[in-house]
Amino acid sequence: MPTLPELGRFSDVSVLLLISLAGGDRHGYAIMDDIEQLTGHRPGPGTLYGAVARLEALGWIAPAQSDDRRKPYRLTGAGRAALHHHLSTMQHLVNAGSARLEQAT
Amino acid sequence: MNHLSRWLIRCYPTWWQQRYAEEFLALLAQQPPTVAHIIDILRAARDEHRRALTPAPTKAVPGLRLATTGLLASGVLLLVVFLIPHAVSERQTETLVFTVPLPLLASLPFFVCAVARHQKRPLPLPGLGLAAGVSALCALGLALPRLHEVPGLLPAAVFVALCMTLGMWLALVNANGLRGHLAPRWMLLAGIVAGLSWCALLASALLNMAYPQGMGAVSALLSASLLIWLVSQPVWTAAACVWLWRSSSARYASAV
Repeated sequence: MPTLPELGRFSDVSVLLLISLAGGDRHGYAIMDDIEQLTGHRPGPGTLYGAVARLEALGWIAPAQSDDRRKPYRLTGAGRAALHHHLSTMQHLVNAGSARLEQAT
Repeated sequence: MNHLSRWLIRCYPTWWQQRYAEEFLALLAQQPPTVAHIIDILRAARDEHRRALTPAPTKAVPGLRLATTGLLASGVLLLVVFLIPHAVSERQTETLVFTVPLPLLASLPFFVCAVARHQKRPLPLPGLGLAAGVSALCALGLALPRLHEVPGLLPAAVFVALCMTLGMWLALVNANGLRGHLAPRWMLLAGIVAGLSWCALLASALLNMAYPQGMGAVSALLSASLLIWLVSQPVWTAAACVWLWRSSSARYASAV
């Protein structure tokens, strides 16, 4: 299974996009709003759709049913597993880093 | 602003436009692009073009390695077959300026494609185009002044044409490996027929050079292989172009 860092410069936005969709189906503009609320930084439309295209090609997200021009996306099972795996890795890093900082002080 | 948005979308590959243009336009209608957004979109469009030319690092494509290895081996074999008669030819010095770089440049696309594939990097298309262009110029320089005097001239020109076509085909196989696309069987068959007939053409031309006085069977083989090659090669090349055009838009559909 590919990992998020393999998505190059789109990996950070991809993580945020997966986290956003973990909270429910959203279209592009709503995803940008959600990421801005989470991080204080609004991704550019090109970067966002670069991540959307890559995650969709990996089967981690999929378009949800809608008649609107603004197509919403949903997280797939594979996407949920990939996000869980990535967050677990990050959690491990956070724990290790925090422990070392406490040891140093 | 609507014109600007449409122009920005046209910077993306065709398959991307067919898949995402409508919703991307809806997004840009909600949030008119700033200068920073325009730069961001142009960078993303460039990345999509590069992605289409980069072999997938994780997706195994059945037969792709075999096809690539076979084409590379045939390229090396043809290079050797071409060099040997010219190495022993007495007229070598007359056309040295063209005959030395010609096989090297003509075979360059094979090696460039192989290295790009091995390193999982995008194909250096300008470099491939330059190699093909310079080798074509060498072929012209070799062919025009002494069309009827230099033995092996026709096979040399055919060799260049085949190398360039094979290089192009290898590039197509390489690029389309990203989405698990392989050429349809009938197109591969046309390519095999073209390749075999060309080999027969070269072999009979070399035999004709070695025994110019006789061997009617060789002359018949030369004519037959030339005829088959002249028919199969354009079919193959046209099929490759049509296939690339169709798969570029179908690429996305097969990926998800």
